[in-house]
Amino acid sequence: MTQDLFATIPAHPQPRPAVSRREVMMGAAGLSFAFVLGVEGRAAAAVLAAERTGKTLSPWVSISTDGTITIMSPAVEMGQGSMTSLPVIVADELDADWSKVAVVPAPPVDAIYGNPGFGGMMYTAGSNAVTSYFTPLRTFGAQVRRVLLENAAKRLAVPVEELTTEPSMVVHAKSGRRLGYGEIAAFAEIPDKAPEIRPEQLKKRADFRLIGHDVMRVELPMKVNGSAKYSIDQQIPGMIYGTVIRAPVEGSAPDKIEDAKAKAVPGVIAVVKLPYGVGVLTETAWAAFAGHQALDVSWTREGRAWGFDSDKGMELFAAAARDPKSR
Amino acid sequence: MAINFIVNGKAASSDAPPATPLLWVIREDLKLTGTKFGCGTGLCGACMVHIDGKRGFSCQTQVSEIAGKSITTIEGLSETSSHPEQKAWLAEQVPQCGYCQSGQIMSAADLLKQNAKPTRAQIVEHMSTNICRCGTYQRIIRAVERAAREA
Repeated sequence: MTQDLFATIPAHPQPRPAVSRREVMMGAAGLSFAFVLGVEGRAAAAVLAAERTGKTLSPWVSISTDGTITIMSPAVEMGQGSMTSLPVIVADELDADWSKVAVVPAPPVDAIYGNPGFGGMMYTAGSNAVTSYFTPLRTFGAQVRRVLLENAAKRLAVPVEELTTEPSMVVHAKSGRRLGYGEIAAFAEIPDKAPEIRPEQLKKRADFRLIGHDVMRVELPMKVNGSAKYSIDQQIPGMIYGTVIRAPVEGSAPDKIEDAKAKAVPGVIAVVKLPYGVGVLTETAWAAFAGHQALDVSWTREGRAWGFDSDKGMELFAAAARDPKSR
Repeated sequence: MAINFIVNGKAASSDAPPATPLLWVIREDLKLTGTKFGCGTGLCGACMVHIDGKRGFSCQTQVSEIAGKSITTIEGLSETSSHPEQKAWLAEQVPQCGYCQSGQIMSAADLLKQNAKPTRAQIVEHMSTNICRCGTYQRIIRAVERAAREA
């Protein structure tokens, strides 16, 4: 089999800079911002802990001197769009230029990325991610923006109140001077204590540039050219495959296993008896299916549902429904 | 004995057992994982590829059947996601989880090749080979209509 036939095909262009987690952590220059999410009542009290990139192991937001803003996405993308919507919340309050944002799936660190709506666990379920992360992420985005503003004020020697932001840009309208977020990241100092952002200091809804607007989901381009990677697409050297034939009835176990034909299938490594089924270990995915097909297993009759008859079951259910004691 | 064929315009060869479905040769050996395994029985369309220019279930095609033939997978449909169906898929934001969408797009591209201006009924009929558990059917239809309009 020729393995590297396609090594020369150029990668499909990505919609935005693709940044690996390692690059985020090792970023040569710039700032990174971390914060810890409280749970429940304390969710809005984001604690900012920023350090030079490279020191903070799991930053939420990193701003490189080239202007690239890397934002961690703490929820699992399952098609519901949270890989886009959560970073959008940060980006809007930060007033980030969305075209310069790279989204990176957060590593599994509950203490940093945990969902406040699930007691601080990184858990994606129940349409919960946006509502639970919404205020903390807005507050955090606003804190990062404030740090950039204060640094810009010092550099331009103007009162911070005279400064505003446009996407990824601090603007001093009076003098017409502008500083890009990447430029600021090159000299910015991080305060010891995170700036306080009160709820009324967050953006007004009418001022949102991203929230509530049509933003292309960041993972969609990968889903129209085959490059999106799913669990089944993971391949590692020396990987073997496994499949399990399960008992037809809960509680039964394998009795007799006729595995001679299965073992003769090319690529089958072993047939393994399990308490609840029979496993087949193989060198290739197809051998797992073929080996599974070739197995002949009979089962013990321990499961309670052996001999269950659906028609008789209906009568039982109907009788139970009529019996006042079973209500 | 090795079986020789073409994948996305390049020569390929396989020495997998002759009964091995093309799907696994594409995914496991050629590392083109955009083509998906769904049901393994030709019912869901996740494995759809083009074989000599026509759509076919790669899970129902043995590698021995494709000697000398030309296969196109989602990775080879266009180099820069520029096929009208891919552009329409993005414009209509069709995918949800996305798992079935490679197969959907390959089926839709096959339709456009046969029928540049399909009616809605023809689209529904043609796309009935492909199942989407997220239920993106309405957007799929809109995207195929858009592709036919803009191609």
